[in-house]
Amino acid sequence: MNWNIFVLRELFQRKSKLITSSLAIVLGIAAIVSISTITTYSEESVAKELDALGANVLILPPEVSVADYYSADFQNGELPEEYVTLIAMSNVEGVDNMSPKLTLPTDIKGNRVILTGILPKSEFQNKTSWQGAGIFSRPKICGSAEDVFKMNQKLPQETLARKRVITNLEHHEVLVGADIAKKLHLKEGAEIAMLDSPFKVLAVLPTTGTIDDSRIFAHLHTVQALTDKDALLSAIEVVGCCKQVSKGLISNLQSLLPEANIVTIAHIVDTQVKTNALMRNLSYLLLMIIVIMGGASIGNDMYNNVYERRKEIGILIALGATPKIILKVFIKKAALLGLLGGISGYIIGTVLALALGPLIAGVHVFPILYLSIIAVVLSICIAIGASYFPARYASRLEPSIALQEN
Amino acid sequence: MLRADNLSKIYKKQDGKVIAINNLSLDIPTGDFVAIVGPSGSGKSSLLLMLGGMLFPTEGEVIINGESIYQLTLNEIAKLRQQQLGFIFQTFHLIPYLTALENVQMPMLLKGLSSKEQAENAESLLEKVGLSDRMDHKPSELSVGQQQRIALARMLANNPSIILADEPTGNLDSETGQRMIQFFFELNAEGRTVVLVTHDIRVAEQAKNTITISNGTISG
Amino acid sequence: MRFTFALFLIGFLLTLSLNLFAQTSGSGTVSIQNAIAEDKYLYLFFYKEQNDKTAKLQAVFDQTMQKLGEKVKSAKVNVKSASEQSVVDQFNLKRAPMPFVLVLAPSGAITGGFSTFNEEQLLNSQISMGAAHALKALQDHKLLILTLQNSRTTSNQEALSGINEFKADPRYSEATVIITLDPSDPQEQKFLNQLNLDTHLAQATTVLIAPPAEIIGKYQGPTHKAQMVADVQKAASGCCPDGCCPGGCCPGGKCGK
Repeated sequence: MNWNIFVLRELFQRKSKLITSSLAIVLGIAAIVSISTITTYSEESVAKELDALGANVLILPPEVSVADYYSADFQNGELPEEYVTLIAMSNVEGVDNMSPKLTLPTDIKGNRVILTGILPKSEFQNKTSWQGAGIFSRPKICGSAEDVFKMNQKLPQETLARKRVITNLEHHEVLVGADIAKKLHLKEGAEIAMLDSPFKVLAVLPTTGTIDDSRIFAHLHTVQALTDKDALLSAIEVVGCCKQVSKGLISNLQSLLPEANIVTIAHIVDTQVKTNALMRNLSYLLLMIIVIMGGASIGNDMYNNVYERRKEIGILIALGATPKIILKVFIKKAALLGLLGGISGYIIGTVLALALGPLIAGVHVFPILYLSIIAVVLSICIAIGASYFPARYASRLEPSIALQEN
Repeated sequence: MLRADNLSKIYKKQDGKVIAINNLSLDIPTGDFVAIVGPSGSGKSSLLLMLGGMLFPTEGEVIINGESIYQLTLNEIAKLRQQQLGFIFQTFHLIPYLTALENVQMPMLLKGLSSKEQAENAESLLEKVGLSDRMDHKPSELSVGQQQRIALARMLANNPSIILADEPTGNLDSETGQRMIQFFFELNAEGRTVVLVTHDIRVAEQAKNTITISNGTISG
Repeated sequence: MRFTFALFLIGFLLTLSLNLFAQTSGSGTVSIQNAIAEDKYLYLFFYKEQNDKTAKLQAVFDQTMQKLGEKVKSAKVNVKSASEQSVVDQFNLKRAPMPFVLVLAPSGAITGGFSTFNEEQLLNSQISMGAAHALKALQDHKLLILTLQNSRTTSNQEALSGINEFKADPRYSEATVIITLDPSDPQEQKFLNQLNLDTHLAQATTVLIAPPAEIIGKYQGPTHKAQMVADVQKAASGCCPDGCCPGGCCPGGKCGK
């Protein structure tokens, strides 16, 4: 027999009581863990998207915001495709890797799929040289030299995954995101029907951890033709190699396209930072509520426990227990309650995040181990903090009163 | 030796005060077997608790082996109870979620003995009281008589020199009660001082000495 | 009577065939053919509908064409007309903003493309022959080897040796165009300045240019096929995933990340 066994025996003598005592704190910890987990992966996902986008500028329809673009699979609101020609022919640096897209939902074998029409570079690349001889005096831009002899041919799935552009794509070929391919059992060479039209899978994209994993990419003009959205786009991603490029890009693009919503990395980051800050503040508010409610619940249960065990406390004193030992017993119980609550809360919160992350934030979520430590420490602190006064009361009980029958 | 000098205990209530013990003095020599008798509410349980360092007197002193126990700190009193005193109560006060063996180990745990020593000693004590086959049972799985024997074994765990018993046979049938009294005699024969509170005259008659309490004072 | 009738019939048939020709190949296509045949610049005005914007730009266009007179050819192309679809598709203008002007050099190169323009821009679209041929090669997705030499520059033959070896390689021959220019030619000064090339050269100089117009190699004096191949390979590797390429390719030489 030792004090840990003593405390454990008492704790588990009535399991239903154990559950109800720790319920508030378990649920509160679970909520914090799930919010933190989803937020972390959401932030990571956006960071990955931004990384993948590179030093980028997003050109969006005027009524579409950055939050819309990142939070939803697709948006209503369109841009005229003629913007592509305007940009290609302009002398704005860094627009070689431009990615015009049209995104909308469709149905394949009863599954909702996001279809993105993407315009291959080859279809507008030539227009960059329509500036005339002035093109020779443009500063050298990384990655814009054409691979004339096909020395470094990348597969379309590689360029799309890494650089978000595609050089060539036939009108009835598609590239399929990793998750969708898995869901619909699609492989390279497979035939699928979309919008009453046959397509062939050119390749399955590697997993990128971005929203592209759940998309199917087809030729922009094919998608436009099949959906009556002739010469319309959802967005244009201007994919630069270098961040310096985007600095000059914004004002030039805004002058060129005054009616478009031109969003920079700074804007995107700002919006995301604000969203994350909101989530963080929400979790702090939740933390405060847990501390108060969870603490109050545990404190109340502990006072009840002291009252229920007063004869036991009396006999312990009769057997030679000091006030310090009585205090220790109740504090140990609180710590153990906190430990169990923290672990349970972490497990429940993580399971919730795994289930809800893809639904709420559209991201794959995995357990975050360091959160388990935070959950346990927080839970133990709340439990001990709430139990201190009841424990102190128990240690000061008059043994004669404790041992009274009534 | 156990002595009480001018002991008083006054409880303050909303509508006045209640005098449980009134200027009581007694002297119990080492090795004595004393029965404290008196009607219900006479203060005998309060006296026993004060003798055991479990109830602070309003006035007076309790001296155990030359030491005034209420001059000690709470920790020193607790140590005294660990080392010299053994309590046994009418309703046993066994810890319901511990087994018989674990209940008997509690005083040894409080004293700081190792788990191995605790287990060995507890097993030996339970064997002594005839319950070695019930070591792993919880109190709710045992009869009243068996529970009282576990309480007895627990009381003996720290080898007390003074045994304080409050109505130990109160919940037992006469045969079991008598067996319990027999145990006390055996313990007394070992040289331990036994102070036993009872309202049963037949039990009191078997003690070496009897003190009668009435209205908080010794009468007769 | 019979003679008159025959004349009438011939005239009618001729007109009919001309019309038919005009319908099947629109004015755009015809103009291109004519301009190439006459070695003249061609200005094509594409439009979709008659509105204020079209009228305004058409006025500028007409005024400029009037100024240029017989030196150039011009045509107006209605992109909605069935007979003009071939020229619309040729330049991939189905989705371009309208109205739109394309300027074609006699070499076939597009030397200007405008959705908004003024007279000066239209006039400045006429470039030197060297520049026009260079643009044509690049617009045809060919590697351009521009070699600058004259009677005063040294290492002329040595400069040509690596180039010729490169061109002779069947892997590269078809997609390579060699243009030789006299660096002292006053007509080509502007073009050479745009390439940041010194026009007062002591040695023959060779410049490797990949489409759309990226200088990927520059050699003074002798050229070596191996070096040229290496430079072409390096340029073809494009941007690395971290945003920078070997040799620091961002403007100013610094990488963004």
